[in-house]
Amino acid sequence: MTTLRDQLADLAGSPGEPTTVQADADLARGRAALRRRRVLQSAAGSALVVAVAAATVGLTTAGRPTGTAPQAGGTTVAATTATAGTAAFDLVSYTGKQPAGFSVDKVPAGWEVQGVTEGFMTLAPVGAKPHNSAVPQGDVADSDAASFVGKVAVMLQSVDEHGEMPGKPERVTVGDRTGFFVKRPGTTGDGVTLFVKQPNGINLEIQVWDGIGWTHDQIVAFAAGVHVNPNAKQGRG
Amino acid sequence: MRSERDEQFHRFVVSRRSGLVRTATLLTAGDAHLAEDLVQSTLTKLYVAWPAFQRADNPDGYLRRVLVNALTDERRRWWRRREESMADVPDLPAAEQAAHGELADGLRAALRQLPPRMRAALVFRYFYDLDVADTADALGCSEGTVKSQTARALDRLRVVIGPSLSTAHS
Repeated sequence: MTTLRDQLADLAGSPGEPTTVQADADLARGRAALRRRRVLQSAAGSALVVAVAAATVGLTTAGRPTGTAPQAGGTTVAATTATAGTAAFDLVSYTGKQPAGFSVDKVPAGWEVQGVTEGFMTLAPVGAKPHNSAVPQGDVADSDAASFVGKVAVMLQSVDEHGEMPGKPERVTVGDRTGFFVKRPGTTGDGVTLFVKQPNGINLEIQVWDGIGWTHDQIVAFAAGVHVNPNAKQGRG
Repeated sequence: MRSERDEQFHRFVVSRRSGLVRTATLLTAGDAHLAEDLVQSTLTKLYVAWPAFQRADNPDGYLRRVLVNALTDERRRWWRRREESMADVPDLPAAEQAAHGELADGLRAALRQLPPRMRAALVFRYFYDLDVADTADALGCSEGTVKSQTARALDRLRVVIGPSLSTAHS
């Protein structure tokens, strides 16, 4: 009788010894990641100084409440003008810099644009902490803008999907556009995706992690204020 | 110019990468491409945390935790897996294509039906012979959870493979 161990050994295969090129590439990736981390830490430290200074000014200056939040990219979010919404989902105007592929009119109170590049924009609850790889993350958002756990991610649909939406799209109206909610196959428990049709035919994709608790209506309300900038780029895969 | 960290890491990669690929292949239920991604991600995390890894009382346990967290992290990027663009790096799976026999196909299909952490519990317990405590440490969960997860995993495997499934621990 073949044991489970034997079967697992067959499945594991016999990878050959790593090549020098592979080891060099692993090293290069590690060094690049370390550089990024150090830059981010440096930027976060600078932003923290700015935030503390701003908070100090706020305490000594009478006037309407003003909040600032540190951003990894050196941008700041100023959530000031509350608008109508549910108690748990008040969309507030976003007035921070939006220099890359996407921009947003409003963000939910207590959330911030964590990072925005030509490829994606990530929103996370204010105050997310760095990810500790030795501790299981669960559904808790971390400060890595490239991680979408517990967050909302905005991007263009992958070029490899050719505009085809997976799963069973559920049609909705997003502002003056048409959108479709889709549960991607194989992502049970991970989240839901809202595709929003764009004039150029490339779908905007907004992915919402299940654990954050936004309703479809709230996702639509947020999505109505999301814009694709000319320099936004599609990913692959 | 390479630092001492670079040299140590390079030696580590040369000596341990093949084993990592094997583990990753099992953790990804035989998906060679995803396994390679998982190994790359694990090694990157390891390089960043190299001093902590070097100080770890149980380096193998540390490595398993990083691997499992990287596996979990793959779910974080559930829309697609982002690749760092690297010049002149072949993006080819390092694992040989595993056995194509009926048994392997059945096991692969069965493993793919398991949640990643349940699959990891099964692999650590029944392939690497880790005890419950070490498996719990790798998964960051309680020993009771490991026991229940592995029991459920075996039950589900038996549904696919059949009652003849034999384990060294049953």
